[in-house]
Amino acid sequence: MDFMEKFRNEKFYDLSAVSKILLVCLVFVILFDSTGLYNWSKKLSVGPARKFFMSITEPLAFGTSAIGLDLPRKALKNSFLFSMGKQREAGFIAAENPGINEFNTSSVNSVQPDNTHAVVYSSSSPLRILLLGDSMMGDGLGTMLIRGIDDLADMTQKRYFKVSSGMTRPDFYNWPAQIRQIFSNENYDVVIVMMGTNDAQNFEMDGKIYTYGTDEWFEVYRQRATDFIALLTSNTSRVYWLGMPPMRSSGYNSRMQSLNTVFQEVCAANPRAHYFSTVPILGDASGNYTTYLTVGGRQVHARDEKDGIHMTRAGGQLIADKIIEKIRSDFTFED
Amino acid sequence: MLFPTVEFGIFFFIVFAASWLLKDRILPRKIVLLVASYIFYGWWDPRFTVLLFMCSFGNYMFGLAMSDMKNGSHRKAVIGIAVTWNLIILGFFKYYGFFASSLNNFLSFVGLGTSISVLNIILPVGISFFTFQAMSYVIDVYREEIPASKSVVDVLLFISFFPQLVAGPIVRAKDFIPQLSLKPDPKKIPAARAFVLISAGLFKKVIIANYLATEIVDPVFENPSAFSSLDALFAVYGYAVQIYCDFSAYSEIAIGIASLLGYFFPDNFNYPYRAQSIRDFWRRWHISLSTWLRDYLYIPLGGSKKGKFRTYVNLTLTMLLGGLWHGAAWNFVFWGALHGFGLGVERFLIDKFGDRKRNILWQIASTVFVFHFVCLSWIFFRARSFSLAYEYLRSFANVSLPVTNLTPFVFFLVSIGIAMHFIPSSPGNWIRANFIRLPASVQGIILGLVLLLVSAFGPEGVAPFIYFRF
Repeated sequence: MDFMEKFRNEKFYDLSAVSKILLVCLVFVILFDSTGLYNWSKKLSVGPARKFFMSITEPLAFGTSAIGLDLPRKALKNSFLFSMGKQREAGFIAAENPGINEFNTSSVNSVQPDNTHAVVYSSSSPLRILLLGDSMMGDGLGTMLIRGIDDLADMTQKRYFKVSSGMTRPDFYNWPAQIRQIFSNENYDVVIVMMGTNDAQNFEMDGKIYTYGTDEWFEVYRQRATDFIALLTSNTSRVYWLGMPPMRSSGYNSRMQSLNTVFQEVCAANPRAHYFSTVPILGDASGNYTTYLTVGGRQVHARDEKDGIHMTRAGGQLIADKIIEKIRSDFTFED
Repeated sequence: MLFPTVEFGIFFFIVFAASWLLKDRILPRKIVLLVASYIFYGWWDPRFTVLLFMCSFGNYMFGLAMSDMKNGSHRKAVIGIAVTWNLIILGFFKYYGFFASSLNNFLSFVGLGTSISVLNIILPVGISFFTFQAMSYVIDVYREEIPASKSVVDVLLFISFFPQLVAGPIVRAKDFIPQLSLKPDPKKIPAARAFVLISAGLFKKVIIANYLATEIVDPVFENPSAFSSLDALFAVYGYAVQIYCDFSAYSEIAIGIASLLGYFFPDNFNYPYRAQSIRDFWRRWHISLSTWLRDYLYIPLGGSKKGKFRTYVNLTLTMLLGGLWHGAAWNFVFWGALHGFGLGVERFLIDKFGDRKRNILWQIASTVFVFHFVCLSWIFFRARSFSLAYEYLRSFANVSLPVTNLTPFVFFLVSIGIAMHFIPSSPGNWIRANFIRLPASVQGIILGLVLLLVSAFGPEGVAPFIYFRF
């Protein structure tokens, strides 16, 4: 074979040498990167696989940490972050604390006055908008909200989004901790949130597994959403919670619509929160999923056909236009 | 299942052990690799495996049908059907929505209203790669460059082999299928190549590509008008480095993994930003695609054998379709057209002034010019729409805005991403030569250290969960 001639000068190893190298590499990783493996297993979906890997990686991580084998990794990580001029996000730090399974939103009290109608916003005193969410607030909706708000002189924005995050797995990313850090440094008048794509899953709290779909799962989730919105409204005048759009997979869609019911109920109970349904904008005539929408006589590619979940920028534009219009009607702006 | 994940690490250790335990039993070994490949692909969505099987089995049957035919016109008919079969699979899943909505919008524009139904089609991962690979098999059989494989397992495995399945390199049947009939030699594993490629690939993907994306490329391409000219300039340099590091890393890890399993893949990148002409760039960038386009599209169109004008047309058409291969959107078509135009102009100038060896200053200037031409084209590739690309180009005039995202870290990443193209091969060869001489246990520790660095330096929370779809 002519093709194989190209590799004639390669240095070949025998199988025992390769196996030995891979085995030593594996042992090295197990000893010195047990924290990384433990963090990985924590992020798995709650179920037998996670239980199995946690039963191995948890004692391993604590054991290697006790004898200081995790120090090189920590030192490398810290020096890397320092040289980048970056800090670890509060959401990740809190997720690694012992109380990771608590979605603690304590000390929620209304400190920010409701300025919805009290203040006239202008280019010299713009309405400050915080954009929060999971990957739905990334490229697509997030992009078009940023662009839409930046086009207006009387509004400003800042976005924090975290892929794969949500309210069921604070052991991956703790949003309340992140929110507190954000509000300790910055002030906002309005928050726009879109979150929930990763939430319809089982979770573990105080050693108990909560299975998605059960009453107790919804009870805990509803409480978390209530606390989360209370934390946001205590720091701002208004929270706009964007519901999930229709999804392509019917099973996934029914899960997302069940979360929408929770968001709707929770927002209805908080005078500063407003639930904003995206189904009439991104659904077809019957409110079902569609990749393409006809808008103004043109067919618009509104959803990502790879996953049937995320919005394209054209889809994000449709939502962004409506929510900005809603904000303009809710607040007072100088002409 | 992505390469730089613990899931893949576990998967690979199992496949590595199982495949080498079966080293003396060729067929069971191939079946294990085939099953592993389908598990790997089904990890995204099990429904995709049906499509992969249909595509592969169809091409196996077409190959078999051609092997029994002596009549040239019959063979021609079968290859026509085979190519159509592959193009229908690719066209329906990847391009139907794009063409239907474009046509509907055009019909609406000319006042005829919309008429073609757009469907909610799922786009299967890696479809462009495996359909092109499948086409290479049947075309090579038709051209009698390889005999049709009698083994369905060989053809299924050639098309689905997991290291290269979703993002290449696009391996040729004549290079890979003969390897499947050989008994793997446990004394001839090109592990040094594998370890170097896997380590380099992990570093490029997890550190350079990921951080460049989040630190500068994504924010600036989202809203270019909000950024300064210097941010815009370094975001496009950053994207040039990011796409190279991302894509070449996947190929390198794929080549390394295949090597550890005892199979050889060709190189897919060769210092592309070192190119001194656009033609040279395409000889160095995604080599398996550019050679595929050359052998199965450009040359059958007539290549450069049918006069100057046809050469320019063939170049442009090949690059247009190459652009469309990357994605179903007009910006990819334009990106391809830009390269096709560039290649055409370059060919015209060579025809007019000759292609003689130039001095070093000319070579440096050519490299800088080609790099910036490629960067300009990347703006259209990355920007998602013409209006955004235009906005991006206008942002180069934002000299009064403050520089926000061009940090020393970003500058460092862009610099090493470009500098790695100009490092002479001698230091790399020296490292490789000395690495080989080290005891196996020390080599294992060095590899472990690379994994530790990637784990410690890699961004936190990069898509660790899959979406829960039922």
